[in-house]
Formats: sequence, C-alpha cells, structure tokens
Amino acid sequence: MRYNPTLLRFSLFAGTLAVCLSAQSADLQIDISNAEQGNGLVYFALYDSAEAYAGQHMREVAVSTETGQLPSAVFTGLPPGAYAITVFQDANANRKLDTNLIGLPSEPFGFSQNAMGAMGPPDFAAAAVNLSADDETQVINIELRN
Amino acid sequence: MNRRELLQQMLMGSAAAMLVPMSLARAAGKSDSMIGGGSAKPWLLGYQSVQQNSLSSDSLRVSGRWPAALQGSFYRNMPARFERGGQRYQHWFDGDGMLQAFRLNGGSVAHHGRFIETHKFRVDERAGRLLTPAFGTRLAGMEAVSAPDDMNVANVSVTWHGERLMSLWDAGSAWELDPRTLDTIGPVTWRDDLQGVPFSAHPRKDPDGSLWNFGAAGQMLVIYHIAADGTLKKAEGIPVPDLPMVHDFAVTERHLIFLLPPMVMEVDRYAAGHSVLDSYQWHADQPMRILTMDKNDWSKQRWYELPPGFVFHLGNAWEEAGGTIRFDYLRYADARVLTESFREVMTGDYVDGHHAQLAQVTLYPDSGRAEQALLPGNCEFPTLDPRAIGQRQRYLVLAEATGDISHPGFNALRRIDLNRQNEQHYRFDEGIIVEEHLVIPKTTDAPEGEAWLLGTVLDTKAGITRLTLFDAAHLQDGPIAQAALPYSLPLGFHGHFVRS
Repeated sequence: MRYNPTLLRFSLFAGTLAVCLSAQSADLQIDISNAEQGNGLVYFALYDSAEAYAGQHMREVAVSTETGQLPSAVFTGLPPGAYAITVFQDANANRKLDTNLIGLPSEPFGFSQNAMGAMGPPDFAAAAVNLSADDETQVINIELRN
Repeated sequence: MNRRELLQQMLMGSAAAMLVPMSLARAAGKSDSMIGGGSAKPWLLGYQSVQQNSLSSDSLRVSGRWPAALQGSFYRNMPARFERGGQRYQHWFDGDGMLQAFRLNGGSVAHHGRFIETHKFRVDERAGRLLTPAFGTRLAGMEAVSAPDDMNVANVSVTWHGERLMSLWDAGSAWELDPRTLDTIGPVTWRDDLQGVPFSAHPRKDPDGSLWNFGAAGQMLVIYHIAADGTLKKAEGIPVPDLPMVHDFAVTERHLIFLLPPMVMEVDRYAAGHSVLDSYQWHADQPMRILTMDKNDWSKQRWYELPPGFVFHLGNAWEEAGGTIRFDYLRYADARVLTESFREVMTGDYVDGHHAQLAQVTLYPDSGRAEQALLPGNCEFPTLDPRAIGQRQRYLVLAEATGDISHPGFNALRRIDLNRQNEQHYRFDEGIIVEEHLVIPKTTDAPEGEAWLLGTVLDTKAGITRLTLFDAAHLQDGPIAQAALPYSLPLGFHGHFVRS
C-alpha cells in the first residue's frame, strides 16, 4: 500500500471536515505495542468502508511523534461504524511504505485486529474495528510485523 | 505393584501404543513413537529428526584409498527436524534445514553439522511447537505468516559464491552461514529492494565465474546475475502468467531455460486454510511450458510446449551452432511424487513412489518446436562436471532406483556417456539408500571424465551415514574409499564441494 503525500494532505483536510460535521461521534486511539525506537515515525491510515479500503482511499492519516514512548495516534470525532487501520514505520523517512521487488513491505507494518492476509493484505472485514456511539475513546493495539 | 507387574504393564502399554493406527496419528498431525522406529521399515531412519542442535565427529572411520589431493569441505543440506511439541510435519520438505560439513584432509575426515537458524527455526524453537506453517503443513492453531521468509527453512541446497557460504531454499532468501563454525549469519539481501525476495536453490555458474539464479514469487520470475566476486550485476522481475512452483533451471552460453509444469497456485485455496502445497492445482490437460530468455536481454523470450509433466531438476543445457538448444531433465508424469510420495515417507505409508525418467529435449527456435525422448530407468539428482555447465558435456551422473527396491529414494548410481551412448552402473547392497553424488574433477584442469564422485549413503542396517567416493571412470567397480559417521543423518537433498 503506497502513501501518496498529496493524498495524505487531502485526507488530513477531509478528516478535519469530518470532525466538524459529525454530531454523534467517538474517538479511536491506536497504540503500537512493539515499535523499535529510533526506527522512524509510524504512519496511521484510517479507512471507513470496504470500498475505501480496497481503493486505498484513506479517510484520515496520522503520524506518530518521537516522544520516547511507543507510537500512538488518536482519530477523533468519528461517526459510529466500522473502521480499518493500517500502519507502517517509516524507517528511511521517505513518507511511504517501501516494498521489495515483489511488492512485499520491507518496513514494519500492521493492520487493526492484527489481521493477516493470505498472500496479500487482509480484507476489510478481518481488520475492521466497530466503533459505537457510546465509545468515548476506544483504544486498540497493533503489533508491527516484519 | 511389584516389579514384575510394573514391567508387564509397561510392556502392555507400549504394545497398545503400537496398535494405534498410523492413519490416526497422521490425522491428528501428531508424532508417534512408532514413526521412524519400525523394524519392518528400516528406511524410516532417513526421516527421523536430529534431536541435538549440532553434531560433530572429529575423525570418521575411513576405509579404502582416500586421495591426498581431495582436500576441502563437502557441504550437504537436508530437512532434519520434523517434530516439535508432539506434532510432526506432514511433508518431507518441511523440516528445519541442517547443514552438514565434511572436512576432507589428506585421508582423514571430520564431520560437523548445525541447524540453520532461520527466523522460522528461532520462533518455533522459542515456542516449543510448530508455531508457523511450513510448505506442506498447515495445522489448526498455527500463526499466519506475512512473508515467504516466515516459512523459509533453508533446507534444500548450499552454495559457495563470492566467499560466502549460503544455505538455499526454493521460495525465500539465501541464508548465510560462517563456513568454519556453521554459525548462522542471516538472510542475504542482494539489493535493498530484494530484501526477502526468493533466491532459489539451484544457482548455475558460468565459465566467467558469475552466477545465475532466479526466484519465483506470485506471477513474477525474478532473475539474478551475480558477479564472480559476489556483487549483484543485475536483478529484475519478469512477469510470467500462471507461474508454477519452479525448483531448478538451466543455462546455455546465451540463454536461461525454465520448465513450467502445469501446476498453478490458487490463492483462494490458501485463504481457505490449505497449505501452500495444497493450494497448487495440477492441470493434467495443460502442457509443460518452456520459457527461454536471452541472457543479455531478459525481454527476449521464446515459448515452447511439451506434453504435461512435472519436474524438479534439469541436468545440463547447451546450444548448437545453428541455434538449436538441447537440455535434459528428470520428468515425472505428474506431481504425485510431491503431493503423495513425499507425504507418505513422513507417515511410513510409502509403498511405491512416483519416479522420474531422464528426458532429452531439443528446442528448434526457427519453428518453435520442442521434442523430447525418454530414457528408461527411474532416476533423480543429476550432477555433472561443474566446468561444463552451459556447454555440451560428455557425462551425466544420476541416482537410480533399480531392481526390487523396498525403500524410498535410490539404491544405485548411473553414469551416462552421452558421446558413446553407453553407461555404467553401481548398485549398492540391500538396505543402503544412496543420495546425490557430486562430480569433482581430480584437478582443476583435468579433462572431463577424470573425476571423483563424492556423496553420502544411509546404511539403514548399520544405522549410520557414510561418505562414499568413486573413481568416475570406474563407477561399476564400487567405492574406492568410504568414511563412516558414528551416527545416521536424515536423508538430504543437495551438496556442494569447496576445494581447499
């Protein structure tokens, strides 16, 4: 999955809009449980439907900051629904997930629900987290692979 | 309970264990004390795990005439651990790779063997169970894997190139080892974007010392050309539709040759929980495709077709002045050797396997026609003078299953003289399973044919593994020298000799 910087800025803007517009909303916090410190920022992408996920149309993107703690991000003001989150650690600071010649990630990566695909990324249903209106802040953990 | 009663109960207990049907043990994916220990099937010794993480013997019992000039290290690779936590792999190819080094030094032979500490070996060792799936085994409760190297057991072959000793597998990275201690160094990354990209187990060396190899992944055939000093000259992914499992290839002076049996990966089957092996589907109505590629321009490709068939190994290939290409390979009628025979050896159910015949193929680039002729005899493990790779060679050596053979694998060696169209054989005694024998020229500039054949045999009666050495020109006279280990090794795949 490639992260296009233009798309990233657009997604951040779209995300801000979404926060303003949603009436009933909750927050989703993602903690990375095993990132190697000093190995780069962690990028988080949020998808709000199977179609968006398949087409790599992110609803929002977040980037961890180097705080000396394990990377974490919070997406705020989300309407209730199913969300999938993909993450990667940008070890060489080029703002994209590097892949090898055959398309496999060569930087640490992960999916919500720690879902694993079969010879490819997991599908949306396997990675989806259900966010209800009652969740003030739902916290999930993702373990990086690779 | 007195001592006699206790003894009786123990004996009854073990007798009861002997009655557990083998199929039950297999269905549960469990190891059974009986598997590997049956006296009725002494060949099961070849599929038993090595329990220790390393083996060594400073001085093997030698006999015969070991030539003083034969000095160096003979490395062999093999699957050698098949069980953890009470579970046994279901396929021979799944066991953790163990590299064996035989150090030949003026008539004395020492042995040292170590397991290759791949990622898979380490995580399974730490967990004390078969944590992740292997090529032919995917049991309930196993963890998902995210990359080919998660399954890499580095157990197929070994090579020495650019001052590096590398254990090789079919579908993952080469794994580098310290040539002296056999300590694991780790996966080899030829270039940043080649991290974790498959590097197959049968690289071929050109006369200029450079090495050709490939890796098959999805619908991509990755081609590697590595300079004699071990640096990467070029690597590129070539899309190939319906790319099957590819184990070996051949090179001529100008071309790379790939044989593609009609066996296609169906990802849906893998997603449904099947093993990698069971996700391949055999298509009996489709041809064996042949792809040739120009060494200087990998986009210059030609396709040919042969009747359906399955292949692990090619012998050699060369081209004639008019552009006609000739090569040989070991042809199976279908893939049941892989899908059935190599499972049956793990459970003891093996009775009679599926065998290959030597097929001699001619490709006519002008007409796009391919012809093949089959030679009689059930053979495998083709070897030749390494200096003749890519050129018309005179001799080809094979392991052969001949006569009334009661075990998997082979009981004879065969050396074919392609010039005179004749051949020599040597058949081993009953109970001896012969493995690949390498062709080693007696001196670096000896003419082809003046060579030794060096390999291993498993003596299932004595319960030991032996090195055997033949004078290639007098194969039928039997081994000129042997060296006996004080223990047996599991049956293996391929070796490499590094002259010192």
